[in-house]
Amino acid sequence: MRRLLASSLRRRAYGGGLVAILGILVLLRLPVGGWIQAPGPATPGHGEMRCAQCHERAEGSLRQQLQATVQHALGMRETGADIGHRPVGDRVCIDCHDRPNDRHPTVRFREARFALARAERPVQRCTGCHLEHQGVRVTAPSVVCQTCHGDLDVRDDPVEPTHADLVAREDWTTCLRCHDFHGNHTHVVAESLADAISVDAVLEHLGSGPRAYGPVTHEARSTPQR
Amino acid sequence: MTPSSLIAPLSLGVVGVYLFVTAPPPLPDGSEASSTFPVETVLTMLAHENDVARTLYTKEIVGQAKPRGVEFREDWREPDVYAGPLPALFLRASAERVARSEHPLGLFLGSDMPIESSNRFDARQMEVFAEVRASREPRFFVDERTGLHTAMFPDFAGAPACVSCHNEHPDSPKTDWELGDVMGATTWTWPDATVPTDTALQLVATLRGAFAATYQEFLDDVTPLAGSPVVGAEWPRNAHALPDAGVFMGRVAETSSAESLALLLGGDR
Repeated sequence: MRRLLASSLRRRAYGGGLVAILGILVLLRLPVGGWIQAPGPATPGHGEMRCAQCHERAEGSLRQQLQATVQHALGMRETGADIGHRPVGDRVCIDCHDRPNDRHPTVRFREARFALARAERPVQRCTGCHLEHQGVRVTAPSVVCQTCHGDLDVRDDPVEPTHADLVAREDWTTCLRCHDFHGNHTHVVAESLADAISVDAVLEHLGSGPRAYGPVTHEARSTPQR
Repeated sequence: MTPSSLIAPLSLGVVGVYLFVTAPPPLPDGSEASSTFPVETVLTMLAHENDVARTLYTKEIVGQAKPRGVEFREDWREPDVYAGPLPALFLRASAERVARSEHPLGLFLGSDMPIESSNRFDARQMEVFAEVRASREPRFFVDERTGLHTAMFPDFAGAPACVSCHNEHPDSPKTDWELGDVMGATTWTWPDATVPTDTALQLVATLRGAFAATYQEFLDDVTPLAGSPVVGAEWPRNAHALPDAGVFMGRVAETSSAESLALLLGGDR
């Protein structure tokens, strides 16, 4: 009698587990399931976007994708396949955020001479500094400037203190107090550190707080340009 | 054999069928390119296209429009500046557009004595550039830092404006450039040793598209001013005018196409 009861309970447990797994799979396939899959809150400004605006479906059916992946793993074809969705690359970001006069376009960091910067973090890609689903604008530390600008030499330096002084004392928290990294705001560079943006305001801007550099000069497109 | 002992082999059989036996048409494999060109051939052709576009821009646009009052400045992209790009910046802006295309083609400009310090070659590229300067010929190599096939083409001081601008610039580390000097190098990168034929042709289209877009950006920047040149079919050599992007790129294609095709068909120059 006890064995019969245990067997019945086990069957119910298996059945319940199967139903739960199927339910979760169905939920994940539905558009409303996006909030479950998202690993964290969206970057400020991205909250109203649909998942599919960045996460494009990979080529082929699931079966074709699995076949290509398995056959690639077994050495039966040269390339594999993305399963489910394509990786989100720079093109997806640029579709909305492309604009002229970027002071630090990611493409520049693909040059061989920026090997050190790439070794520290993948700055040649947007996500090197702007990881999505973290709830903040910038996920890189605010002192990344030191990687490339350690030998900064500004002739006839008009600012106070001079750039040479700031580099000598390795005060890398000051860079973003005057300089808007991508130059996408109406910000005017201060000539004295005393007139510059505070460190706290910069950190709030890099997080999810108010913009520290004024209004943006080029609004992102609300619809990707593809 | 009990029914439960059949579950595992049956499951494996179903997975096998799913993955291999009744396969739907396979996704395209990256190894299926029918014909290819050596990367050196394609990069040489693209460098030729670049030479033609840049020379035309330098001599017929900057050289002829500047005396007619059109400005060309480093800060040409600043919102309150109505000017065109200097020739090196015309290349830089076009290279950025190429890099944003679907193709993994890299185009960079560098020197051992650049005005902008971030454009200074280092490590292996500095060594190869010394060879380029000495021989005045391109060099091809795989850069171990990037793993990319890299081609470096000499960048000559081809117009008096190149020499005077670099000699007079307050940030220039060298002030005795002369006409014909190798001032730097255009560096091209590609991930593979070969380029599929259709991709090679797409790269020409991508590069020309980038030049056209940068040229259009220049026109949009300088023409809002009162008394600005008329944009159309005329060139500044003949009138207070600038060719539109179609006319400009038409001249580029007319000048470069035969040589580009010859480079592709004949291999190395």
